[in-house]
Amino acid sequence: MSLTLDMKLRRGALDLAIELEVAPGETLAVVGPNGAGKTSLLQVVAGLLRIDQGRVTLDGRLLDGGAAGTFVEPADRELGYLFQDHRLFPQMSVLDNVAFGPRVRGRSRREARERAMAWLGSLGLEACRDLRPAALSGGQAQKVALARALAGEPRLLLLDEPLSAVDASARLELRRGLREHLAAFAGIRLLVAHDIEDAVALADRIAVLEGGRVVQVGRVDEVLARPASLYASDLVGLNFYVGRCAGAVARVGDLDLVTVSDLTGDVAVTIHPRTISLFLERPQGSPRNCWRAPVIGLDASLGRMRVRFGGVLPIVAEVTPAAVRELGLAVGRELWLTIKATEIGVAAR
Amino acid sequence: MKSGPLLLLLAVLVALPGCTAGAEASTRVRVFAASSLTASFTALAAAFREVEPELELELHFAGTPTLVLQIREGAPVDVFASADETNMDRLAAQGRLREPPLVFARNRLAIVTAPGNPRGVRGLADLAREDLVVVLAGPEVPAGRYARQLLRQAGVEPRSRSDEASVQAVVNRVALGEADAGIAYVTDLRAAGARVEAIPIADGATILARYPVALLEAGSNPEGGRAFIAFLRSERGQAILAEHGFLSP
Amino acid sequence: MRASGRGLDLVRRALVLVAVAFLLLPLLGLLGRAPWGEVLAAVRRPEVVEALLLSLRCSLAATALAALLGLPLAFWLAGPGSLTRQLVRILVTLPMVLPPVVSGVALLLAFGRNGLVGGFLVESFGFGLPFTSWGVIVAECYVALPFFVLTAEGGLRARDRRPEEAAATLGARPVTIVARITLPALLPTLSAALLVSWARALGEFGATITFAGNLAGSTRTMPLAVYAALETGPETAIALSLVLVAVSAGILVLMRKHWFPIR
Repeated sequence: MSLTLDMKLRRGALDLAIELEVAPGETLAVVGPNGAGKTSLLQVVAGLLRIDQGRVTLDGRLLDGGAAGTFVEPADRELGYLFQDHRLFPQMSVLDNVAFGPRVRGRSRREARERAMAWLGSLGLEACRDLRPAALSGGQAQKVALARALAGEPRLLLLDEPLSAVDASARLELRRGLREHLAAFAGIRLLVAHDIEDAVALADRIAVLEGGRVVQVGRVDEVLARPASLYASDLVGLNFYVGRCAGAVARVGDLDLVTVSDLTGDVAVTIHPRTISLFLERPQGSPRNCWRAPVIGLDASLGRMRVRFGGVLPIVAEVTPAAVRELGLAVGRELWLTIKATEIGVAAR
Repeated sequence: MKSGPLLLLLAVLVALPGCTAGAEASTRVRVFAASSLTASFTALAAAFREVEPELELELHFAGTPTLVLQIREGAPVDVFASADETNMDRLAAQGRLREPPLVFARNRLAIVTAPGNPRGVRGLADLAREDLVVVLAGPEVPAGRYARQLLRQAGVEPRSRSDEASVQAVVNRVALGEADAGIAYVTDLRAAGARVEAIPIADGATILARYPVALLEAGSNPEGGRAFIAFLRSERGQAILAEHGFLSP
Repeated sequence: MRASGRGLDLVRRALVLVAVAFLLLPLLGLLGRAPWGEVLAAVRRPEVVEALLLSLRCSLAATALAALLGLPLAFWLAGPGSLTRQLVRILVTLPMVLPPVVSGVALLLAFGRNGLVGGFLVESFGFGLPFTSWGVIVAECYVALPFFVLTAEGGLRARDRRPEEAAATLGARPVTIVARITLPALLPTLSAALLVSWARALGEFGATITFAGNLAGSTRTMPLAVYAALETGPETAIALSLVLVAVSAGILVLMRKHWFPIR
């Protein structure tokens, strides 16, 4: 069971030409700049947009065969779509919103309500059952929308920037909850993320979409380590590690990093190359994350220099050409690296 | 650019009154006439212009009660030609008349049927037939009142499937085939031409409608009004009315 | 810019006042001239009560018919633009533009005894619309339908389609989406559409008297009764009009929560 796309679509300014495959049991995150066509891609899979040419298949079943070809209506695609703006039904209670999917997919009214209650219970939202969506907080609305998408027992789950409408304080907890529910969901997960940290925390693989084309697709660590495009290098070109966290200290490779996280267990750690400071001598004061490593490679990239280090923690730093001259950067040279605890991204994994 | 629609609106508002420019008050004679006089008065006006070329005759036609209402609410009218004396008497009682009314024409009623009289209507007695759809003007309309009097005189209980608002509506009902028979003025039937057939009513049971005309207080041109009333009653005026089926007073 | 903004604001306020006065003054004229004794007596006259009840019955039936016929049409018209839709929209607008009396004649030519369809009706079922209350309902519906369709279509076009898409992804069929998502969200617009078409049907005169006729008990609605009363003098007509105004205002007040939801 897998989802495959090989399609072309032009609507006004929109120009999509995408080849993509999502394996069963996998979460694929689609990242890219605004206007890259991320949401349109989800709409194509959902059947809210028809393609001009090509094929969209789920499990070998043709969903969209292009203009004048087969087209399976959204209602028949057995999917769950978590919209960026939630799109809860304003005139229905929370319970009826969640029960809507099972009900229209043929469950009895009682069964549908029981399923909805079970989902609300698992998300800790029993108390909201009789509220109207307008009375919910952003985080609650997001959870209800997730429950609604999952309650219809879809085979394919589409998530469009699931955490973007949630304020920062609720985000970490929601991300963790979402990760659990994604793991428990047996079908295919396709996720659009604007925030790279969401992608890192939730996805197995990342597809980078730019100008309606997939410019890179691969495992999360691969894409982060070797960004293949302007956008990817700017936003995705993060240092990415899988490690273990115990309180504020995260162990990655052979190095203990001090962070501001309070997580325990497996974590994904991200460090932006520009947040790494380089020094010829050991810096004064006592930066907590400070170590010495040899330069093993230099890549000029888009007006800046990406400096690859070996040693206890393979890492990439990004500096200006001026800094390259000042520091006399060359392969084999050893330098001191420091990172502030607040600059290290940590997400449960 | 945003003020474009607003400017257009203003332009329309300014331009509109230009459409309604009328004649000067001193030469204009404004006449209100009952709708049953439409055809005859239009012909009369053409002839009047030859006799009094300097006067500008302005004709307004409507149902008599509507005209009476407008006169009561102060419409500046010189001459009023009514389809019945009741309405004229009401205006007289309210002091709206400058001079007492004069009857200038009479009208007869006739039975109206579809062309060729397919249902074989021969007289008033047939209007009692159950198989005919009969319509009359409403009892508040002069012609409707006369028609009911006429039927009762002939010993027929008046029944109407619909109390039409005017004689013209009665004629139209029959012309469109919705009704089999009705009662209307001879003059209306003459104007309707071949669309309907007029069945004359025997002389013994004839009620004559009398049309009075009067000079109104509210008018600004009594001289012109008097000239028109005189023309109505002149030989030439009477001849034109007779052409349209009216009887002399 | 700021100074001209203040000037515009004054103009706006003045126009609001003028508009309110423009609507209020004729009503004050009626109230000032109203023979109040006669108004109270009129409410007790059986023929007035009969006309009033007939008006209410027929206008409500015509509104219901307009909604039944108009809603699917409005949905179809709100679809993607096409030449057929534009032509049909012109057709829908036509009864608004036609003088009502002409609408009445047109209805006779279609549904009268000799009309395009009416002849068939009479021959097959022995049933003719003119001179019956059904004729009144048909005439009122003909003039009220455009108001319903165009109001509903406007609301349908402007509606938020996102919840409908969400419902589709959850497995809902078009009929379910309309019934459970579109119509509930559209209630304020539909109420407005019902209100304007009902108001138009209630005040209908020209098409009714021309098509259905004017007979107490079966086709003489309040506007027709008012017109007949006008022939004998405006006082009675004013009295009857005020009865009609009062009853409609009463209904509006009772239904205001549905028709003018305060947000």
